[in-house]
Amino acid sequence: MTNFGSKLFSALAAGGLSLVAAQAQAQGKVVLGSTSSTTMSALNERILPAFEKASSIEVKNVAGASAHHLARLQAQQGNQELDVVMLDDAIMAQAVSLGFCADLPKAFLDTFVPEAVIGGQAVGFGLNAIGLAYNPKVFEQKPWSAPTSWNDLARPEFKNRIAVATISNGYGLATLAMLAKANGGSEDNIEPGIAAMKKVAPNVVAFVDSTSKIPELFQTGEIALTVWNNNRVKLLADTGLPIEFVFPKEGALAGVSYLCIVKGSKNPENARKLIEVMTGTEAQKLYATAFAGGPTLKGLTVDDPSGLIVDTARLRTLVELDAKKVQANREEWARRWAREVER
Amino acid sequence: MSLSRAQAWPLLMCVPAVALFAVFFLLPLALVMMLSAYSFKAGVGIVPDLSWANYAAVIFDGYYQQLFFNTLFIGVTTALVTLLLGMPEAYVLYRMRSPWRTIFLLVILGPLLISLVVRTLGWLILLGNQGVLNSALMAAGVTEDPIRFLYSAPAIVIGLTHVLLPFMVIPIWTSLQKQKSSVVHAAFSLGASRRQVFFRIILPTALPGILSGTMVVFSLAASAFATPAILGGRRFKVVSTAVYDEFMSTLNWPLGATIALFLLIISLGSLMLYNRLIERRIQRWA
Repeated sequence: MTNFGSKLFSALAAGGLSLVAAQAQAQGKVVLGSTSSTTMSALNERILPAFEKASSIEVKNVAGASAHHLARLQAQQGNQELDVVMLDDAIMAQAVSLGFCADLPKAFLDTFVPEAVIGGQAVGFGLNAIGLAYNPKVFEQKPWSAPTSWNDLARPEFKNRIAVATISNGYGLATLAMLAKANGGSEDNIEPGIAAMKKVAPNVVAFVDSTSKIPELFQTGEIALTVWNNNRVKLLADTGLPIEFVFPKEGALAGVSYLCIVKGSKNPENARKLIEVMTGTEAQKLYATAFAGGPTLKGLTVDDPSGLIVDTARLRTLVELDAKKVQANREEWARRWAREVER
Repeated sequence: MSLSRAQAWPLLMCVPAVALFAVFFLLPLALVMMLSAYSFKAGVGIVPDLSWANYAAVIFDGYYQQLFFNTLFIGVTTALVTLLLGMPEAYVLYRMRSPWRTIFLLVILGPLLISLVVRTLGWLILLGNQGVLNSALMAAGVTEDPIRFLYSAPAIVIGLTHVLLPFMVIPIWTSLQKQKSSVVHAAFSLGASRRQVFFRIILPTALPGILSGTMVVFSLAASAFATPAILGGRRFKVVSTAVYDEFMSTLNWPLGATIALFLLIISLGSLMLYNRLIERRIQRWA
């Protein structure tokens, strides 16, 4: 894009948000783009207030879906509003390859397990597993046997009782990729995944853009099964909702939640400080108790009364996706998903 | 060439509107057109090469043809349904005496005072699988399993009709007011049938209102975003939600811009055609 064009675009797209940016340019501020409600309470109630107090840096937290943060980074290229951004694996890999993230010091990255670092730019603050989440109460009433396999999503008795995220969302992507793998496919051969999703589609009451709708769908009994991660299930289960997480027999998908400093950040120094605190030992211990977040710092171990935490040892038993291949095929998968699955 | 004062005034008065349109409509539109000629490469981003590739992709892909068909279908159906509901409503309003007229005018405008999203979410609650309508049907034993109302064309048409009805009623009512109701009485006293009164007096009077009402409703329905996004979900897609997807999810802005331009061209084209057809009819009746 021409420089002039991109500037105009960013000016138009940024809209009211540029006001926020202008404010944050002032001394002692940092703008964080955070995702999902998993980290919401841990961040807003504990980590960010403590950080603000200790550093006298004001944090402006902009919550939104990963994909939308990425869109915002593209829209505001050259005049970034966000200083630090939190994204799910696939989306962070995309952000890194599109050049939206700034380099992090090597000495800092070396304190993390290698599974939780993308390039020299993005660092993971928590490990998770993407698998199946179901409502044991509904399953008992029916009675249905508990799900054990990715292919259980296609069981005919679940008609209209499942929610699956759409393909632009990390969970949708995971569903497709894991169904492919469970049926003899791979990142290079998505055909079995599409075929399996076509069988799942009649069960899907709604393809959701964002999994923020899932708790409500569970609460009202509209759905009894979905694809989700252990962090979200732990959080919801702790609120008293009947929900249980299953590591499918073909393997759950390894997931990492990432942070990076936005390239062109107006507050790089504050951004670095914030990332250090958000990935620090104290914070990671809190993530473990609050939502069973698996630690990413080398040598850090946490208690696991829920049995849900994915630590580095357990991470190796999970299925990992080849981020490069996913990146290369993502658009084609989205094309086929929109045409063949969501109908 | 110098303009006399009388000539200069109208031009000067146009300046604010023209400036507003230039900055907030023409300039963005030009940018969108420019963007539509670029291409998008996964992992690289937007590449400023000029080509017709996006246009070809939209024209020859059955998927997008379906989206445009869906969109026009929603636009036309919503316009027809609001016309069928709005015409009698406007006539009743026209025949009402004050204070009833004022009260009912407020009732008709009422929905516009509530946020669009709230109204649409209301339909979500009514039409959902565990929603009011399905619960009632199941309690009455009409059906055992919930019927899927949501995520379909009828759900969107219902939602849009509810939202857009005032835009049909108000212009028709305004048009009708041009005719004194004594003309209708005169027609009856001279032996005209109800049919004749409707087709010879009421309909021609209402026609300009019907024209502007259907045009406004069609264009708002064809370009609506929130209602199709909420009530159509991801299963029944229209052009505006596809544009949103390309911009916000796939990040393929050039393709999104191309689709948006096609929507503009198609709606504009159908409106102009429709306008000509009706204008001719109005002139003939006048």
